[in-house]
Amino acid sequence: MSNEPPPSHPSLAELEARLQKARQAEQGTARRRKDEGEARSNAIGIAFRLSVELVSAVVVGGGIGWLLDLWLGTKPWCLLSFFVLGIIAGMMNVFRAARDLNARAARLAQDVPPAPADEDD
Amino acid sequence: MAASGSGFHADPMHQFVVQQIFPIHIGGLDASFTNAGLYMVVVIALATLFLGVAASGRSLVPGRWQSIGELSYEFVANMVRDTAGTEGMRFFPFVFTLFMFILFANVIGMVPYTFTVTSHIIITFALAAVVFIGVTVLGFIVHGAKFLNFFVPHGVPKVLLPFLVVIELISYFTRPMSLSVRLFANMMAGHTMLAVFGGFVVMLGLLAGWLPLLFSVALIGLELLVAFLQAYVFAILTCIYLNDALNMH
Repeated sequence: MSNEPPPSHPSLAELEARLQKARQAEQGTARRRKDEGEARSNAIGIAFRLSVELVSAVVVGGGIGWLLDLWLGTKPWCLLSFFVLGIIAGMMNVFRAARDLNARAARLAQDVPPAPADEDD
Repeated sequence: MAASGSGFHADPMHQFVVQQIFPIHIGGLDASFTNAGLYMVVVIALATLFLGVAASGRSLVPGRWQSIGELSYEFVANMVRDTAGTEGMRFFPFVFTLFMFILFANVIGMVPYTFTVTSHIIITFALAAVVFIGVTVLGFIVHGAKFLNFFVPHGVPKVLLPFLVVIELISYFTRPMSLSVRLFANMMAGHTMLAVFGGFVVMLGLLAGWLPLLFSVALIGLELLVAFLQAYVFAILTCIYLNDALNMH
């Protein structure tokens, strides 16, 4: 809280300068706070994201196999093989999603030097 | 959660029932106006109203509404720019609309006695399908037939290649599924849980009802968080898919 009265008609340049200053002062703490909050609230989201990624790949793989079976008349074989392929695709999806999340976390940690290093790999 | 009529009947799934408001039949097609349709109209109207109010002032030093509007604009703009690059900013209006629609649908669903549009898989799937088809078409427009290289991983032995291409294809077709199921399952599970615990409060009455009541309060806080988080996740995954289509890694 400053006591100085604000200029009655601030020019655009003045206003911009004040905004810049306020933003710079705010940035460090705000970003750190945001990171911490994000890390905590995102944990549920991440867990859910990874599990859905795995399950839906299996379902989609199985579905494709089932449709191929209907179309080609090779009753169980396409379903079985695409089910397995779906599991593999799901694992790949989970691996990729986790890798992206890690890369993001690493980039955020680089941006803000004093951020706590919570990644152990 | 009314305990009216003959005793208490708690049906936590009752809130998801789609009811006709007035029937419309075009040919053999049932295009009736339902409560789901009504709430989609409400969502769009409120989102438009909010952004209209936020943008009407246009003062240099923003007031409350303008601040919220600018905040949401910058939030989504940064998200698009960070994940899809400046090239992806062409699709900012689409991502912003998507984000606002899902966010408003989720948050309006938190008001008691309302209908949560995003708790129905057909609606989330429709949204995800628009994203999926749009992104695939975009990939072919930008890269032409070269977009198919997206499914061919680099540096693998020739023997494994067909196998891996099939896996990549399955993985690609998983996208609309995981996108829609994630949003739908989160909303539906949360609202079912809220209804179940609300039912406990009524069932246990004054004696022990305060315990599930406390839990309900905490749960509502969590659900508000989930409402925002799921809108964010949907939007950011859209950005990631856009980035894949534009830059192919």
